[in-house]
Amino acid sequence: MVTKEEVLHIAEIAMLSFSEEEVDIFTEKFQQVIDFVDTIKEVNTEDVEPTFSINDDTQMLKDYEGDEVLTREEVLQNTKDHQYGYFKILRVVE
Amino acid sequence: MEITNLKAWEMKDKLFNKELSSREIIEAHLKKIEEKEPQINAFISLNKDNALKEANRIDEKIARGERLEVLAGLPVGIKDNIVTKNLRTTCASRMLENFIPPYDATVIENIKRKDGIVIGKTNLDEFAMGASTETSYFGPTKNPVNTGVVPGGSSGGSAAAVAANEVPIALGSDTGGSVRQPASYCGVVGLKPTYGVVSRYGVVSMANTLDQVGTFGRDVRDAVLMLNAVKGYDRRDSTSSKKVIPDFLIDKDNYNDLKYLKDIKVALPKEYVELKSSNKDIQDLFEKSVKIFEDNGAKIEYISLPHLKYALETYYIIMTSEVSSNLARFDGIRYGHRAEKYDTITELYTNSRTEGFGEEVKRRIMTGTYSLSAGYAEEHYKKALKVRTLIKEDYDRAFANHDVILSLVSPILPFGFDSMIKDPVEMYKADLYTVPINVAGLCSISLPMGRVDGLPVGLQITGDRFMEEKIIKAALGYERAVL
Repeated sequence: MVTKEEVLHIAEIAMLSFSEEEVDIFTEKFQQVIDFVDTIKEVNTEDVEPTFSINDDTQMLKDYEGDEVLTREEVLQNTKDHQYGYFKILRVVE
Repeated sequence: MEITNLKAWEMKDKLFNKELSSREIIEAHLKKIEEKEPQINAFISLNKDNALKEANRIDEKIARGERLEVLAGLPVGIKDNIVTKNLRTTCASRMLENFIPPYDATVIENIKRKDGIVIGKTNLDEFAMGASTETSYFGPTKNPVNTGVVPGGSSGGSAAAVAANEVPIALGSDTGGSVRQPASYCGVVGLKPTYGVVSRYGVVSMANTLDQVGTFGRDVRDAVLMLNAVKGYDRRDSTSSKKVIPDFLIDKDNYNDLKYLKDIKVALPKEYVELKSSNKDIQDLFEKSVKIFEDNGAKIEYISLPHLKYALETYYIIMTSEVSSNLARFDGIRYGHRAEKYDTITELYTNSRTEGFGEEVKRRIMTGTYSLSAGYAEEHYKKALKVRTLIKEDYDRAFANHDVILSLVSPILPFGFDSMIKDPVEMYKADLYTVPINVAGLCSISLPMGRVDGLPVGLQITGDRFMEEKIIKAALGYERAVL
């Protein structure tokens, strides 16, 4: 059985917070997911390789091309807060 | 002549013959958008001024006698999860409500290079997660055929815009049916190419091994025109394939050709035959369509895809796992919503994400995080990837002896708003026709086969990887036969 503690742990990893009521819903939902997923357990996958990517000619590394960069201004245009050309967040070192 | 009633290829012909100017085409569509949007809500943002400027540029090119490219002067709708330089891209989420991309997706570069004109950004389920366009932060899109029902989703805005003549062609994205199902619900053509045929660079990832950009048109020829313009290898997308899909050119010589159905080998999965639609009229329509193939010389055979019954579970695990990983990038720091209140860096992340994402998105992130978490990764995620191999092999066997697979797109009619939860079993079955195609990375096209209770119903023609030509020919042949 899925416990409330497990759900809170998953929320912490996912960096999301939920109300007490939402946590209860997820606890129930996760149990449903497990029941649902359990049906694929009956498939015999012995000696079957996993498919991470459908096509075999992909996932190549590319050469770096110098002009494929954004300007500092472009990089910062969507941040809420920046200073001296950097993203501004919280002071983490006293 | 009402310009917006024309197909894209007809507009292009008239532009080339100087019967119409690009300016006239764009103005007519902007007028149509203004008239229709209050009822339909297919667009999140419009690109009015730039579109008119672009139209002038095309007209000047024509005046100078310069060569025009394949999308010359045509207005295109773009699903709002595809980034457009200096044009707001929201993914229909509060998270990206004010996001102005500093670059164009490769498909946008391609459209511009081919003289196409981006007229606006279309509505979708938040981050493309949904099948009704109801989860959009900017409100739902209505189905132009009947505004009392959903347009389908997640590319509901693009499908509705094409159906309402607000644009002749549009781009969407298809992770588990998000192009084909709304095409079916709105009565237009939706084409989902083979995984790797269209670049995903600049397409906001939902589930990166399943996502593929797809195209919309009001006929097969237009959906193909749109595909020809955007496909191709892209070094900036590591999952882009170097295999070349030839341009499939449809012109006067072959446009009316019914011969395409002659001798093609059609497979009908018996798992779908057993499943059936609970709506008898939909099932009848499908059987009539199969008959049309048969009457025109196609050879019909029943096949078995034994792992099809595990496709939904497999899809669900892989999709949510990839969602949880792909949406980890939204941290409130570099772009996207940042919470006002936080005391620590963890709170900054957590509060920004909690406020920025809607319910469905959070649900999927949670489920995916769970599937990937220690102790479950092996029995959930890894297991699903192995079953994925078996599903892929089922299709490989089917396509060794057959050209195309015919099926429904959706076993149900476009449903009313807020009615999703009414019949969970039917909803669950609803995805079973579209989802396996993404799991196996195949190409597939949805095209109208008629109406039931006044609502459109689509036929799905599926082909092997990189066999776009076969599904396009079959779709053209079918379209000619029913027109």
